[in-house]
Amino acid sequence: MLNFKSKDKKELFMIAGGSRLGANIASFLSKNNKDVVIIDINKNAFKKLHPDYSGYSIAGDAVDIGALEEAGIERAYVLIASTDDDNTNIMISQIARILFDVPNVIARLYSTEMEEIASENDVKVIYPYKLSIETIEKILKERGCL
Amino acid sequence: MKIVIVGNGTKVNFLADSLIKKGHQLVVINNNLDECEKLSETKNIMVINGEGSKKFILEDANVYGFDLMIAVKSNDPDNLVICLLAKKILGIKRAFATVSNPRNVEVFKKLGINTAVSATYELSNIIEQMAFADQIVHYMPLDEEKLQLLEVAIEKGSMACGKQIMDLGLPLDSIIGCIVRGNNTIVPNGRTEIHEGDKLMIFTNNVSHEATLHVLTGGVKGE
Repeated sequence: MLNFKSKDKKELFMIAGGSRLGANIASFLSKNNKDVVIIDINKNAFKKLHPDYSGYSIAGDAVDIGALEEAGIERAYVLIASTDDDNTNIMISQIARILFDVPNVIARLYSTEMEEIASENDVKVIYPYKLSIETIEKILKERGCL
Repeated sequence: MKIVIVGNGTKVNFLADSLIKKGHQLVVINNNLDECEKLSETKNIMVINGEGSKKFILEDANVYGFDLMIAVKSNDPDNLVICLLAKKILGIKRAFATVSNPRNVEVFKKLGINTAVSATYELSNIIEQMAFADQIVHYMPLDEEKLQLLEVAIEKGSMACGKQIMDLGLPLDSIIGCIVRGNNTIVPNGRTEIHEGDKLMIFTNNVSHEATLHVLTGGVKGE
């Protein structure tokens, strides 16, 4: 699916935003023995993590480069911008690509109208509603409704 | 100039008044309905109620090709997106933003928005410079400290008094652009003499700043 580029030294998976998506992907990566760190401005977000989650959790503002540095963004191999705010996700993902040269950056956006800006500098943008439509289409086709 | 301002609160009100007075054509995009009503009642400008960091709102506002975008929302990511949309989609060449986090001045610059200002950032610079020398009347950092515009008052006893500019020993990357003497402004050359009471407008950089001040103010405080 996503074609990840490899880079030896960087091995951290950074999740910016402890939304349901963020917390679940962090739990999933941790279960797969990846080095994971999740950042959220609100500590309560970490309650959504799986009880077996063994990565780091950092309470901080992920659009503050100080917080990103503290979380180890220099070592990040993958960054997933999964806060609940599109503009915040755009800013985090551009910071990750341009300022810290994170090789694989994924941003989750709700609105599709920012594509031109959000996908700049090789940021992979995903849209939950598009993915839902694809899945529904598949189900409908399987059931012969389409 | 055709200017679009995105933001709310007293900042927008003040900015709008000041820009209207200077004869600019203004569009304000504000996401607070009450504020919008008040703005459109009191000022002769176009006011749009909506979230200015959304592309469709900016498109509806029809601000294509405007001369200047000013993003003064309190949220830094919103201001970044507004400026990026202005430059890439709306063809607005100049975009100006305020940022809450002082570190974002540098971040915005790296992301292509080189005119972000942070009140905290500017204030800390100004305080630093004010503390440095009493003789500095005004201090204005340009291009983030790399270039500075100083207004220096020449006090009694300064070693610069009575000297011609070429004999001052000013650092090479400092230049006196203008001298205010009483009611006159003088564009100086190397032979212009510095008098007590002169106000000098000086362009310098952060490297030569200190040496420049030393040449002009040395001797005043028993140096």
